[in-house]
Amino acid sequence: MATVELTGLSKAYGDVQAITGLDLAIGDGEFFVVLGPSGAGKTTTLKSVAGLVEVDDGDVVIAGRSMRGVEPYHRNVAMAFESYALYPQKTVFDNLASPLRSGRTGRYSAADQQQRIDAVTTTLGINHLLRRFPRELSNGQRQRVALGRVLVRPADVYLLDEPLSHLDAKLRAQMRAELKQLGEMSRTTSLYVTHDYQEALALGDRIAVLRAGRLVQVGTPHEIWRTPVDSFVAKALGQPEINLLEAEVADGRLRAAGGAVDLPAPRHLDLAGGRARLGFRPRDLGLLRAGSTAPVGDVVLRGRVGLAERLGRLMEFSVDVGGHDVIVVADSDAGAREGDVVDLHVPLTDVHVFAAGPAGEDTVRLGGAAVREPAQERS
Amino acid sequence: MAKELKPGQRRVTAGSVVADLMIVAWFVFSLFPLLWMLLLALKNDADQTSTYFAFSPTFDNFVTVLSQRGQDLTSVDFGQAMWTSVLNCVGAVLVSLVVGVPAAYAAGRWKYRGSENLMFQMLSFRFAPELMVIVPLFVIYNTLGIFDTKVGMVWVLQLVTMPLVVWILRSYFQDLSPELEQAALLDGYTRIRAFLTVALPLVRPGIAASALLAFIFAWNNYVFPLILTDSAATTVTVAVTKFLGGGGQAYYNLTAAAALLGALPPLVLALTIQRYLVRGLSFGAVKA
Amino acid sequence: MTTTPTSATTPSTTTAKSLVLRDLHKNYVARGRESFHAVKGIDLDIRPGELVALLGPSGCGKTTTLRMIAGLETVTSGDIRIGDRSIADLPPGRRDIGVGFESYALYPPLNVRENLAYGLKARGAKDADARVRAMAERLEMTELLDLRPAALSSGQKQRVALARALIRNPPVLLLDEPLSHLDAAQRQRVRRELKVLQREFGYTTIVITHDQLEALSLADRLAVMDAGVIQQFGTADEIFDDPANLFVADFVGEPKINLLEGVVDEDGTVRVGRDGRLRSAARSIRPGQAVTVGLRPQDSHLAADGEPSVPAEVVVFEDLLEFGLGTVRVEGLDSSLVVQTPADVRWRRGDVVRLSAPPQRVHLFDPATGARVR
Repeated sequence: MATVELTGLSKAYGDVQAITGLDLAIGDGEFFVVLGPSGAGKTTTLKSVAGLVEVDDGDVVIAGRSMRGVEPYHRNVAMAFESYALYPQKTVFDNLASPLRSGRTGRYSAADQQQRIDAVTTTLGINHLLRRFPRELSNGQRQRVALGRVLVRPADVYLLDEPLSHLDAKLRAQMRAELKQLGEMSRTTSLYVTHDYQEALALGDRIAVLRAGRLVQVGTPHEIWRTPVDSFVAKALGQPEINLLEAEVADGRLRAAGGAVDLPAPRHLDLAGGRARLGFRPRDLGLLRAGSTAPVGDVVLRGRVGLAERLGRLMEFSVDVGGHDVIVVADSDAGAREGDVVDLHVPLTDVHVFAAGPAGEDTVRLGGAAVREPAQERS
Repeated sequence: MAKELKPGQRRVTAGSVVADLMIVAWFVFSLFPLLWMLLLALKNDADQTSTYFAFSPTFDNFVTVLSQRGQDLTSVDFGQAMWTSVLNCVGAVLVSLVVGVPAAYAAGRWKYRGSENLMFQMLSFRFAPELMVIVPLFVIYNTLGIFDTKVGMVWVLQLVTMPLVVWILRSYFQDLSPELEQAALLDGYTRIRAFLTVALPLVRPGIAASALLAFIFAWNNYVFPLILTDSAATTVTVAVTKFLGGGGQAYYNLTAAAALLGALPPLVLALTIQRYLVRGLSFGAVKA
Repeated sequence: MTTTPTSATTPSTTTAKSLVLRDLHKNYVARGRESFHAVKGIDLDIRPGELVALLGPSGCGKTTTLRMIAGLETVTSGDIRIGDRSIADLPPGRRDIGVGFESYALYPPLNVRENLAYGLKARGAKDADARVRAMAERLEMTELLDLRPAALSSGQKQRVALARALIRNPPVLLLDEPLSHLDAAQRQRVRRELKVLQREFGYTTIVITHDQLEALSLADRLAVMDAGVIQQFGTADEIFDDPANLFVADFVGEPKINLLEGVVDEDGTVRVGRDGRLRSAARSIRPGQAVTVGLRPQDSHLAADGEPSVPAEVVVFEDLLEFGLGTVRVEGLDSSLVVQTPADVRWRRGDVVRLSAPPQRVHLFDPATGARVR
């Protein structure tokens, strides 16, 4: 167990700047997720901690000790690679025994090795695979073995690089739950890299969002979800993506989509430029049934359903609101059909207001269209 | 209803017949010299210049080549030359592997300014005709006193085989995910041990393939032993040509028999390690 | 010519034709090897202008079926008809079918304009250039016309491949895994775009996919395939809420449906685990009958007092903010269950919850055959 600090970490590959001035402080026993699209510098960050990448600038501090000039095999960190990196010529047992036999991660007698491997393979449900070679395993099994090689010995820090990315959707969901369980059990400081926001939300005690090698935001899943610092973070979390509409401020109102969206300009925000960008998450929007009225304080958007698509129990509606497509996700019994005129509603507290900016560029979040009452805020 | 073709059946057209004939013709043309040499090696002295396919075959030529009579005809001990060739080639391959495997690993793993140029430089030695360097080498060898010695031959043959080994193995190492060695580093192994215990076993098929190719290239080399040896370190390739006769009669049948004998070691070697030559034994654990 | 509303089943142009597969078989026979019956008698009636997804795991025979329709694979037996014309014996070029390949199969040395025009010019179309321009405008890709495939993003390549399949104005369009190379956000966008275009052009379309969400969202009707046989053919609602058998229930839906062993009790409820009971809408069950219970994670809720329910202990809870996922253990069952909870509900490890579900959402299957018990 240990804390991990990154200070001013920078690394370039030739002309490509992988990470730039990265500062992070990870607490002892924390499960910390690094989230970002491909090319954001996630793996470089992880490998810098492992000592597999020589950084150009900055320092990695593990358990208060600077890792400058410390070889990977002296850092006492364990890593699961995205490619699994299992030794093809060794059986599962020998793969798992490898860290126990090097002599640098502690001395283990044959009996100790056997006992540790038994324990970890039982937890992961892979005891029946010990004599197999990696090529004889399914992707899911390889993934478990790779995880086993991390868990088989005590390490200060676990580093996990997209461990679930090669699994199909259903197996991924199952493994995510298992990882969560393992994380809760082991309480070893863990640094987990992913591009999947659901993994980040489900697993992370805290999440760092990376973009093009720079840190954009650090926070708990709730903070990142409820108060993204900018539209990049807002878009990075949630599928379908958050709806963004350009709005204008006039007469104390914020209007977008040719007046189809009209709400009181929030007085607690500085909208001096006269323009802003509104964001609604597809699941925060509700479909009003005929005859019912929206809760008090909700904004109502009227539009016509263009597409109604089934997503399992849910439906995804593309609604034309004043010439802009707004995506709404609602229950499949919501009752709206293609071509119907519908009213969408959303609580003002769930309307995100971003600064205005050129099309296609991300801008900072100014705040919610209404202040969330402290009672509503969940810890 | 669609018409169904029986398994293995295909439509026969005029075009397909012509194409088949052309393929047969190509095979005949390319394989005929081999066939002819085989026949020649089995002919006695009287038949050797005939163009008949019908003759009484004899194995005498093989015996003659290896016997005292052969030595008298050519002033070279053919058996001795075979042995010299084996020693030369094994020596050259060993030197190439001991130095070339780590070199290939380094070249496959680390990029630095000019690394590609260096690799190309290495290969370009193979482009130049050997004759270009043979005169200075001859002078140097005489001066150093390694003319007509096995050490001298190993050294010169190694120049031929080393680039080959490095180039083939470099691509094997490049195909290997660096994450395998990185995993070993984090398991607590040093870089050397990660190389020896993880990377090296995985390129075994590559080592076998490049060693075999290097052996064959060294074995077949003619120019270097022709100029840089006299009799003490004469190799098979040079010895074979002696049967064509320096001044006396040319023994085509003996030459053919000698050539066949000379082709035997690389052939046997290739057949024994054939299964190692099939590439990509166990890359299953690296990314599906 | 009439234009009709956007109803999926009505053709919006007169070019759309029905596509019928009748008892279609594909048997791969090789000398000295066991023959492989890849497609085992498929019947499919696709209405003009309909978008049908052929959904199944890899190796289920869906790609073989597509290749037989396209004419890239011989038909062992059976018939394929477009409109009233049988095409099973025609070479691919004369079938009037547009195909979009998974790998895009764009010609690398040609720019986008030439790629689009290639098929038209091969058939001697005089107006090729004009049609390319019109198509490019319709798909909003005129700025791509002079680029080579190598310069395109995967989303753009997908669009060019689609344009090339559309440009010959085929009555039937086949698309093989059209979205598989796109990232999640692109997939969302292209999927909607594809659907809108298909409606507008009105082609009879078959989309091959292994992604059940893609099939559910895209298609008017889905044919779920496994082991060379169509397991169920129906709308997304039917497939999702009224699965024909265990395979369909298990393959469609994410998170995966929970499958539990149960026994029908005297009072008609199904006993699950040691203390659990669930009520099902199935009528043909009799007491003592062993069944496999299929319960979707989205369909279970906390039981009201007196409702038949399954007591369970929470093992893991994942808060995904839009909803939560609880993995729970039921006394007497080997495998755990996954339960989806509404946003703002939080469970903790060790919590005991009593789960129930609407009877029409509790699907029963025969444990031996996998057939639905209704």
